[in-house]
Amino acid sequence: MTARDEILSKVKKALGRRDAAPAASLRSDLAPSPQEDHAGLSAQQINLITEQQRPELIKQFEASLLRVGGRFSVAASPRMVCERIADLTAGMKAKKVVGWHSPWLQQLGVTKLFAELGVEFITDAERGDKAAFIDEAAGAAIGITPVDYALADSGTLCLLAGKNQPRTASLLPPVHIAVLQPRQIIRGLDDLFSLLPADNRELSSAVTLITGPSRTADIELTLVVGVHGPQQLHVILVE
Amino acid sequence: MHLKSENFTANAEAAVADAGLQRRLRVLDNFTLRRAAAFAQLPDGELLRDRAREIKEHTIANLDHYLVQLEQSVERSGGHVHWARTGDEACAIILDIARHNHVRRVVKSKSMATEEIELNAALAAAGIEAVETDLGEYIVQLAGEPPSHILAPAIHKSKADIAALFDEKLHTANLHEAEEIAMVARRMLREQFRAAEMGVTGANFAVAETGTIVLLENEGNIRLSTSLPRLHVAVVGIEKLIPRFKDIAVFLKILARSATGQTMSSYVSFITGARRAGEVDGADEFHLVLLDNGRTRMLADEAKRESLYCLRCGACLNVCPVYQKIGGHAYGSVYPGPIGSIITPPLMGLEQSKDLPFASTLCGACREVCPVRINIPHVLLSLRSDWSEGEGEQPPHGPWLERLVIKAWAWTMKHPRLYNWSFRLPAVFQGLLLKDGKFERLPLAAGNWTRNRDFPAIAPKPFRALWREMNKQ
Repeated sequence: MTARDEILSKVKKALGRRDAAPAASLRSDLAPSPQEDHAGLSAQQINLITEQQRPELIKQFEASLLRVGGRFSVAASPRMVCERIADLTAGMKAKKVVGWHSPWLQQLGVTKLFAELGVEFITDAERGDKAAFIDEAAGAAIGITPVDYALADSGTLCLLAGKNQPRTASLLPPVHIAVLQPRQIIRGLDDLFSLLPADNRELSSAVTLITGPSRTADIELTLVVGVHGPQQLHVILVE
Repeated sequence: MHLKSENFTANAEAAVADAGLQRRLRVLDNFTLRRAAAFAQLPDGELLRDRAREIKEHTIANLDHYLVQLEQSVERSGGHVHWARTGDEACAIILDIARHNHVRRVVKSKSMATEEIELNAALAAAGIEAVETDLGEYIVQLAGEPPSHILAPAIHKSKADIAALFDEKLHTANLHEAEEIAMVARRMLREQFRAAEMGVTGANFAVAETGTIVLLENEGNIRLSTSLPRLHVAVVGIEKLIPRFKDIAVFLKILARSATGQTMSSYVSFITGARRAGEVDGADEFHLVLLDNGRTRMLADEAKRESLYCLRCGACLNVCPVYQKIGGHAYGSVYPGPIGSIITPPLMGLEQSKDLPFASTLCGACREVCPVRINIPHVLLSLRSDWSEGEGEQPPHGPWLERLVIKAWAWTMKHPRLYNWSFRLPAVFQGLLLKDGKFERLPLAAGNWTRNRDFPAIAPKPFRALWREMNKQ
């Protein structure tokens, strides 16, 4: 008997089951959240709710992000976004920045900004090979990405890996700048799980939730920020 | 250093006598305070715990179904599924994958399952270098020690111990602050992440519906282990399943809160298969190793089945009066503390770990904090009974006198009049044995109880008499 069949038959025996596996629709009544009215909403419903609550959600997101050690700023125009990024780049004396290949970042003028500053800006469009991109990301002072969602109640960013959305851009450089749109801010995990597809052909190969910078308390429970991942997390909200 | 559960009493005595360890264990209260604060901000925290338990109960009760569904989901997303009956079999599977892909270096992210199967030793024996990348795990690996806490593996070490260790092993003189130590580890391990061909992780959850594995962490080493190396191997106990993708939400709300008192851990990764066409990073191959290694034994015993609901949050360690005094190493198991005392015997065998079920005051603090409400004291009692009364082919191990006394006591308790007198008489004569109103030594086998503590004197008036008087007034 293969290991698989032996384990499955032991499980069946332990559960006192004689026949084959039960139906797939087991306990569909079990709601994932005790806040029943939060779970299982459609994207339209969530849009409507978050639109109505937007000012409060932004405030809540900012407070939650600051609590976990992230930094927050609001930019009222593409020019202000670029100014903020230029400040951070100067602060880090950055020579190289990596990021997602994003039309939106281009529209905001980010690509042009780095050209003007004489800073090398590399995305997965420039380095389509894994080893080459990781080399660049490991040598970059800053990683800059848009986000897919932001959770107001915990200050969390949600990034979906995929084409033009490399995982290591928000991971290898010591500073991560995340650029966010107000409509991406949702209430919390219940909204997120209503929006993410529960079908693995549609689901991203890596969904990453980021709540503040990298941290550890492994030495005498003393908090140290930036052990393996970014030491700084800056979120810029573009209004 | 590798302490064994067989020597629990000696290990525990040494730990209690270690003043430095006693000082360091005091920080455990911080975990407990933060946990309470984090749950206080959740309006429906208690309901969430109920829901999490319901999901676990349901999954374990239908595990055969969900295991097959998980296998299909992982394969549909292009991943490979392997089944391991034992730890050795799991190690052999991983070695096979490594050999097949000419792997020379492995980065590991904190995983209790790979500690359990002793993967590092198996890899080392095959000439493959495996580096632990969680800072705490890296520290204990450098020291050649096992972890002493599920969440804070190096909690038994002081900052000065760690600085000296780094100096000795990595020749980094003059480290003083935790920050400096962490930055050295960051630099050293960055090289390892980039060089390794294989990343090995565990999983907090494996979702049957989508084949997704969920990983919580604060440092970023799990993200690095799953994004940089060519191969990602996840070693996952068969009890880690949850049915649906959306069920993750329930557990995310309570797990970090229970573990460290955080609202969310810094990073949560949901990994579904390997990287896909057009993606520039991520592993090229994803392998899931499903591990039994004694778990089906736990499943078969209904009194102990709920041990399989454990999320490995470590909250029960932090509140346990025994763990707080002896730390993790004394248990001699990968899984220390109250939860370790109920899952080690089925995994290792009760013969080798017979003291663990007795290493508890049965105060119930562990049950109070458990996010999925595992009745740990109840399972401990069941294990004690297995030991004393014998279980399966095992003979009873309790001393005959003790068993006789307990049987007599049980009989007495069923006879109220006799029970009444059984206290009255000693209450009169105990004066001969009392010292400062307490027993310093009890006779015969009961003497073990008074070896390190006093036994209170029997009250001159029994509670039942006081109760009657109170009601009369």
